[in-house]
Amino acid sequence: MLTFNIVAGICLAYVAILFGVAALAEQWAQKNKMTFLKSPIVYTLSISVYCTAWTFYGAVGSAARNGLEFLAIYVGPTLVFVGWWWLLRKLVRIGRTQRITSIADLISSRYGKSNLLAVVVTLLAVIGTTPYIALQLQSLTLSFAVFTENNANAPSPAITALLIAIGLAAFTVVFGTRNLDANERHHGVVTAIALEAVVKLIALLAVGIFVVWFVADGPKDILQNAEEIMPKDTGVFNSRWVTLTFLSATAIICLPRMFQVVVVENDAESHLATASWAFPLYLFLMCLFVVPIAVVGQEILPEGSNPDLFVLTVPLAMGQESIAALAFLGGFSSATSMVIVAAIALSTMVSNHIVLPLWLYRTHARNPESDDVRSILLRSRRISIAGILALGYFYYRFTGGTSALASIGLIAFLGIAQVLPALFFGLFWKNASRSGALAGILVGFTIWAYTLFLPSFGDSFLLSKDTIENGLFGLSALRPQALLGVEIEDPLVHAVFWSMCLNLFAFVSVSLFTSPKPLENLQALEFTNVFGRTSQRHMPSQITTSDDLFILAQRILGRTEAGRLFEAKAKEQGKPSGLPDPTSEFIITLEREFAGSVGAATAHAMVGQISGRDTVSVEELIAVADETAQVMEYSARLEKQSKELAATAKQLRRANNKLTKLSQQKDDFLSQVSHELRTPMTSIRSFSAILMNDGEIDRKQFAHFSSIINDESQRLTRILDDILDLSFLESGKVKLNLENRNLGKLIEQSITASQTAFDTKEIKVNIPTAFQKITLFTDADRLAQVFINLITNAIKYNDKDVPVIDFSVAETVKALTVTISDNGPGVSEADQEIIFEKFSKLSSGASSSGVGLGLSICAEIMRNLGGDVVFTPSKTGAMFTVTIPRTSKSRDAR
Amino acid sequence: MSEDTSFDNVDKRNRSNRKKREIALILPIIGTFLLLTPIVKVFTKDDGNSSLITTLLFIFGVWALLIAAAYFLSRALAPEIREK
Repeated sequence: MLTFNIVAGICLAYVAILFGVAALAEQWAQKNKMTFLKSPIVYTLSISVYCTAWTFYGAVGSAARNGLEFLAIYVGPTLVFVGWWWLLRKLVRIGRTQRITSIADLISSRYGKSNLLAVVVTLLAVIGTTPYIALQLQSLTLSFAVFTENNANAPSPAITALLIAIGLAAFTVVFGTRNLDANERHHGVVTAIALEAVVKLIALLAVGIFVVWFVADGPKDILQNAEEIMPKDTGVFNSRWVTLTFLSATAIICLPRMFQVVVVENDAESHLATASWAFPLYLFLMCLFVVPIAVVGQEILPEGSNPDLFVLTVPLAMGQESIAALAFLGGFSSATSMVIVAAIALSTMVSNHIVLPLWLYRTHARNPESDDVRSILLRSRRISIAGILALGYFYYRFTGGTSALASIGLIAFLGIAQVLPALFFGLFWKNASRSGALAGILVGFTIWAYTLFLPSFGDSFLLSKDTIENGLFGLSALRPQALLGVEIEDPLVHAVFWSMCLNLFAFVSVSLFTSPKPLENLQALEFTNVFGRTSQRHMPSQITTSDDLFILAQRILGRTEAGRLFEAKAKEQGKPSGLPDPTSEFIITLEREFAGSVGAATAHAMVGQISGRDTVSVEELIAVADETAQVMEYSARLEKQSKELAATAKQLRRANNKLTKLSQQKDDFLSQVSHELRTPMTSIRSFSAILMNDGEIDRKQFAHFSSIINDESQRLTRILDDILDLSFLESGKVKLNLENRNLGKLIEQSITASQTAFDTKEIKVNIPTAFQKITLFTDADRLAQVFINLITNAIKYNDKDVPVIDFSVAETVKALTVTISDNGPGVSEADQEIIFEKFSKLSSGASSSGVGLGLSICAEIMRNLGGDVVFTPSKTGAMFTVTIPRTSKSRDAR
Repeated sequence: MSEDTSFDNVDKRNRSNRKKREIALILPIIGTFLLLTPIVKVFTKDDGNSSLITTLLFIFGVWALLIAAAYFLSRALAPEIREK
């Protein structure tokens, strides 16, 4: 027979195991053996802190009383987790980037690090959680009472509850306030919670399996009986069902303890991916046997038995004490894990948002000693934990276990759900403002208290019976359970409808009619854009010094941690020793680190205090003021880039075409060269063969043949010289012999040189006297080569009896233009384009000894000299214009 | 040619990632539709008598399907998280 003493013994042994596991986990964490502690399974199991004693015992009771209604409490979280990609992932990302410590911190941080909001949310959380803790104490004492029915020596429920509360407070203080950084995981607590999660699942499954296969004759039997025994109304898909699903979905995000395990204790976003299916699976398994237990319990237990305790009493009634003990441990685990996590979450909020700001306010002027922030925080957290449990205990004593278990839970759900609009819209709506959030929460909270929380005490607390029945001041429109005369049968549905609607309305309308402060804008951007481009924050590193920052960091983070942080930063800044520079980036990092310990609002205030900067800098303002501008700039940049890309592609295509053409030209050139070389070579070879083989050749023929060979050799040499000259010029490696030279003389020399080739012809050349006055600073020999070439062409291709060549000159500041025109046949229009090409043979077919390199060489020479030579179309004959640049020297030489 | 195929691949990958994210959005909507609306009456043929068993089986069935879908979805989306 399980007596109270045995049960108490089991409990103590179990608690000892939990202490051991938590201590071991902390040790592992310190030694960095984290692989197991950081696994997504531990994370998922810790989320199951959602399943409290209310779930463990109350679900069966609810099923017996209200049919399938209890399932709604699990459907909500399932939907939220299945849709993790859209909401939870964003929450977790924000929690990590902003170093969020609690739900109050999140709301405060989002709305401009407002401490007022943090205080409001903290109070709301405390008011909403206290009944919940009371509920756990009640279910624990009820389950203890099962074993003390026949025992006169057992302590009274009040004493049991007190002892449990003290034990829980001790555990939470030991493992929950070990380190200050709420952002660091409480490995000990989380591991212990995970273990408890396993125990409660196994316990419920064990009872379920026992009930289905050992008490009843399998699932079929249960289902047959269920039709008769269970309530006729399934309780599904009505307004209460939708309301409960909504509340439970809200609870999984907004309840302080859920926020603690889901967001704050999250180690990696990938864990969330696992939890997205594993946590719904856990809930699924927890619910699997609820209906069978409810059915069998009603079947075998005497009428009037408390269905809330079927999980315990059914195995006991069947004489299965070991299963009953396991079930008891499951319930014990559910209750304790909830209380521990809730106490940690609430104590963090209370100490960060209420105690610390008050303390800072009081000690504003004096310069406190190092480490004092840490000690005050730790102390206040410990006291808060004790205080919260005491509150829960007194609430339990005060309400005296009057209400059914589940209804307190739902009331608490709705209380904390008032945070939802501010939270949800804060993540997606940039213009949601602090005033809006505050208005929404306060309105929602007031309506919740008036329509649901206060009436839940009956007429024993604040509201009189008359007020509840006839409304405040006798106004029927203000009846707490029928506002504006809207009669909704279920007070919970009524309260959810009015509180959420008016909350949302107040939040949205106040947000629309107020303009947020710069810091709010900044934080709104950081939150809504957490996956996008992060805005670079600037903070002028003004009057603050590294010493001040270091002292502050020591006070908040502790000596070793602060030392480590500053050392790492100094190294990053390239300083071998000493403190890092107080750059704006460093100050922002520090503020984030502090936020991980004391919350965003306090951290901001503290850093602002010592850096003399409470407001947002101009740079920040500019960065935030117009996000549209940023977006526009971004898209403009993209457009520019794509244009640049298109331009580059075009250039590349052009270059490619040019390369192809050049390669083609090279091939053409080679074939032309071989062709040109081949003709003289052939005649040289054949005539030399004749001379070699024909011994009887006469003197005259011999002279003729050898002169041909000589001529052809000379021509060959000339071609090769030209080719060499051209390639030399084209390569740009020509060394110019720059000197001062009179232009007139230069041209006269060129004419003389040209005439030698045409002794027979009479040539008339007109040179204006102006030429004699012009002195050029240039490579005279190369320039002469150009003139010789042009003059030679003018004579060579001239069909008149007396070739006439006219020179003229035009001067500008930068260049000198010499025009050479003749009275020859000119150049046909088709040929004008190609006369400067290599080996260009003109269509006019004028006989010539040249190979068509002369003008190419001219063009190359002029290019090398920095000028050019072009063909100018004219009516009579050919006209070439040579442009010679005037260097400073040539101007001086005048 | 090779550039074209690699562009195609990137495009395909982007499209499939987008599809996965869209499924992630649709999944809770489908769940809400099946579990919060009277659509259940279509499946349970509520003829006035107690439909507790069919309703129970329907809810657990949808629940199990949601869990299975979430399992495959989380595996499909996990690489995207790890990349970041």
